[in-house]
Amino acid sequence: MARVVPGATGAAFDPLKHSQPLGGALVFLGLARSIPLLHGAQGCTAFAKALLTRHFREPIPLQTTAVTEVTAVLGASDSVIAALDTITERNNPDVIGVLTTGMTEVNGEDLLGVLRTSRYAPRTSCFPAQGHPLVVPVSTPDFRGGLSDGWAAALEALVGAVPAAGTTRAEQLAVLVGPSLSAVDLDEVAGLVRAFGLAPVLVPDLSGSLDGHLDEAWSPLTTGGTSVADLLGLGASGAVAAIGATAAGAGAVLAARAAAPLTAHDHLSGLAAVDRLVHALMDFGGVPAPEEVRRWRRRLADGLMDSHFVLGGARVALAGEPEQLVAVGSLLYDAGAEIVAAVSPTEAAVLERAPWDEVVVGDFVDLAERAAAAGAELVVASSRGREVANRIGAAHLAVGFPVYDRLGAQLRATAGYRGSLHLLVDAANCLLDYRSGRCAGSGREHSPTRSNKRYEELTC
Amino acid sequence: MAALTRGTVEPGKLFDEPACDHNRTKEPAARKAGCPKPKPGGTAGGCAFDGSMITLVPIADVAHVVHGPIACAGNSWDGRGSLSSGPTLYRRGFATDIGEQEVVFGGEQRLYDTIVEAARRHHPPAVFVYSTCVTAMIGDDIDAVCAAAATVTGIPVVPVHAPGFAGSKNFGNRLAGQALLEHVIGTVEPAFSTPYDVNLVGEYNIAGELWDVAPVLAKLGIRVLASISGDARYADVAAAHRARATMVVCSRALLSLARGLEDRYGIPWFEGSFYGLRAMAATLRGFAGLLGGDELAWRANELIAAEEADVAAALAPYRERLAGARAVLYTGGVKSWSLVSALQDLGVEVVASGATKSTDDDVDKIVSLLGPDGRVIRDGNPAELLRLVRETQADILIAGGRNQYTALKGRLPFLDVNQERQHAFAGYAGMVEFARRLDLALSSPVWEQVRAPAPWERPAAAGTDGAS
Repeated sequence: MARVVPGATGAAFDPLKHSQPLGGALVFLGLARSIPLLHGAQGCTAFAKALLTRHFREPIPLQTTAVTEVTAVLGASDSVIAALDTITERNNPDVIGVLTTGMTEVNGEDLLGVLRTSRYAPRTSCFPAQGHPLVVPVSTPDFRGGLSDGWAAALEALVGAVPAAGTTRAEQLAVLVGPSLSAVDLDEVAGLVRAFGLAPVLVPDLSGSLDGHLDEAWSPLTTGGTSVADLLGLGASGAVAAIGATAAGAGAVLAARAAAPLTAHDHLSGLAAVDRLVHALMDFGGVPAPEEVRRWRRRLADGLMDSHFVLGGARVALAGEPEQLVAVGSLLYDAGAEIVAAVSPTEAAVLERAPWDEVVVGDFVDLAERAAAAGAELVVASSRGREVANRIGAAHLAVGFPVYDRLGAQLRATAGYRGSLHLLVDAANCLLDYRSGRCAGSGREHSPTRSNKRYEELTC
Repeated sequence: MAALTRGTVEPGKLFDEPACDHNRTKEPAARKAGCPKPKPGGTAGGCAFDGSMITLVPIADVAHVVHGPIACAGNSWDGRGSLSSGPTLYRRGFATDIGEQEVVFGGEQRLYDTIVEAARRHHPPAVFVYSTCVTAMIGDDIDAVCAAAATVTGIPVVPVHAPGFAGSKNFGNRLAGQALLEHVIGTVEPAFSTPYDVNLVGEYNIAGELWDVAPVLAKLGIRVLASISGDARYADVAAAHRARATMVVCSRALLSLARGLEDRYGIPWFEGSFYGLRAMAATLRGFAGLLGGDELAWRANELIAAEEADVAAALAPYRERLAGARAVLYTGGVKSWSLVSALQDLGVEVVASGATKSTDDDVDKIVSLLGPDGRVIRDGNPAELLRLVRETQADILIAGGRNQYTALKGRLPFLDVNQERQHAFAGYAGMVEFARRLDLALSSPVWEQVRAPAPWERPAAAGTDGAS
């Protein structure tokens, strides 16, 4: 059980935090033929789009209501309808997620009211139909919470738009996921569910949209992800799984709506965490664990022993979204690593359930100061953590968002027996490189004053 | 507007730009309306805040503090390719990260604390403070906070009033230029002056381009006194008023800064580009013309001849390989024609060029360069670009990073020539690099592979005979 304490700067120096609308947009990017719409100035969208493009190396469907200072004061609701009209006419999407920003929350506009009295009012019966996208409004002010809160809010709004079903498909498992799962993680989860004879519906499913795949042609909308039909059929699910603490709220909402049992998991990194899910799947599926699942569990168990020689006692500093921080931290902690610094951009209940002592809610300056003071050898964070690692002379394992100085962010495995094993091996290899001749003398006691130059290329 | 953007700038004046062709040709009533408003649901591009950051953040030794909620700084800090030869403070992110508390009760105290803390930790020569939509709307008096913080820290604290909703990225460039004129330029005297000191306006040292250009200028004895703002230092920008000439590099938006320097300090200016042999020659002659003297003009011509001879040898193999290639160029402003000439110099046929941010003058130049069959692109949405590429049977799309994945999803070679570019294309050395990158893009072995049909798309007979 970790203590959650505030950081030192009181502001955000080298911010770790990303805004709520960005997290909300990610959820809608995991739906098929979808486009998120940020209700704010055009820069809100441009910055988010640029950052998402750098991370995913994919075209990012994202539009703006382009609020100006005049419409900000006089009322920007016309801009929302105008934007929905333009997008519908040009691109005919199945889903549009409308996410508010700081500015459009400050002016106190009633977005729900505006939509309810428009032709975009929720009418789930006729979706998807030409010219009638499913429009889901979400309140995501920039000045409250962060990426994970925006993700949670959008996912809750989405499952809140799901109609209750008259029938139940017992084999259908609704899998609501958090932001820490990469494309290969989502594949792993879906494969695990199928292995027990169940039919998973992942929401959102970024493994179908932003996994990096080459389609027939360019599209202004997402080219994969959860389909609207699957989304609207969620009410018939025989059971609900929330994978990732960020998805817990939406999981509870959907389970209530579908009158289905819920299994909630903070994360799927580590033997015990995956065991819990496998237990639940055995219950839901009513079948014993298939050989493929058993084989990967045996491999992970073996990998834990192999890697504990490297990771045991290793001083690790972490930064990332709450769910991801606890996932990666727990896995390394379970292999014997010492978590000497852990920084989350925002508060979240899951942070208290971290198995180590303390989590700081702060920024990269907090990470750098604590990691340096504790003589961290390994910094596990997004690409923005690379600079910190260089400064304090530590190795850097790129995990989280955004990762733009390496290829393959969507191939970074972290979840399931197989994904946990990959992450363990990646972390251990990163440390082995760090301790090897590539950085002479670094296998000995750490000294934070060493020249940074030698470590500049040492990113895993 | 005045209440929201505050500051000492008269808003009406900001839309009055006699040096801007767009503006000159409009009717008086239309001119007052300023630049066209963005279309909800159909807009790409940054906001005024983005534009102000682009123009000012490359000043490398300054702490750049963003006063707003986390979105503005959190999504953008350290996001651009402007390089520094020394200080790296500009790459750090400083945000007040205001919360609900500040939205209700005001964020002035938090801004003050953030400025003072940034100054205490890093000892910069100055702090720049950027307002954003939310802090403009809640009415924080940023000027007063900056003045108070300047007193206690003993360094200049410069307010930049360019909240995102004030307009486009271009408008933000201009507001940033205005902030420099009002608060920075003229406040420091250079250690020494020469008759060949110049300012570069709108050059951001992306991928280190300035370092390919400044040495060429140095061969003529021309010193870049203030680069605004690639690889800049605060004191150099503050001394820009002592320059003898200003060059506006590929930027319509910063013409107002050049004009301000002329109005206030009598510094003459010209517009130019560093891309391509023709543009470089025009630039060197442009400086020679403004700095005066037949001797300098003569030396400029000598230098141009010598550099072009050197480059011709380096370019020869590329010219051979690139001959006959067809390109669609989609970029803005001066680059829309200066790059056309650069491509034509390499033997590449430019079948279309974009003109969305270009002036009538630019478009005239494009038309005369492309000839009767060339197309001028007015609407650059991705679908339109790909359609144009198909119609013109172009081999490559040369554009900004925004369109990189448009091209790739169309299985089309791509070269980034805008702000996210990884390679320096300016000056004579840049011209060779440009040719090399074009050749690499066009001749990459990946295109044939990704265009080949998958096994299940081939006729059934194929692939059954064992050998491939």
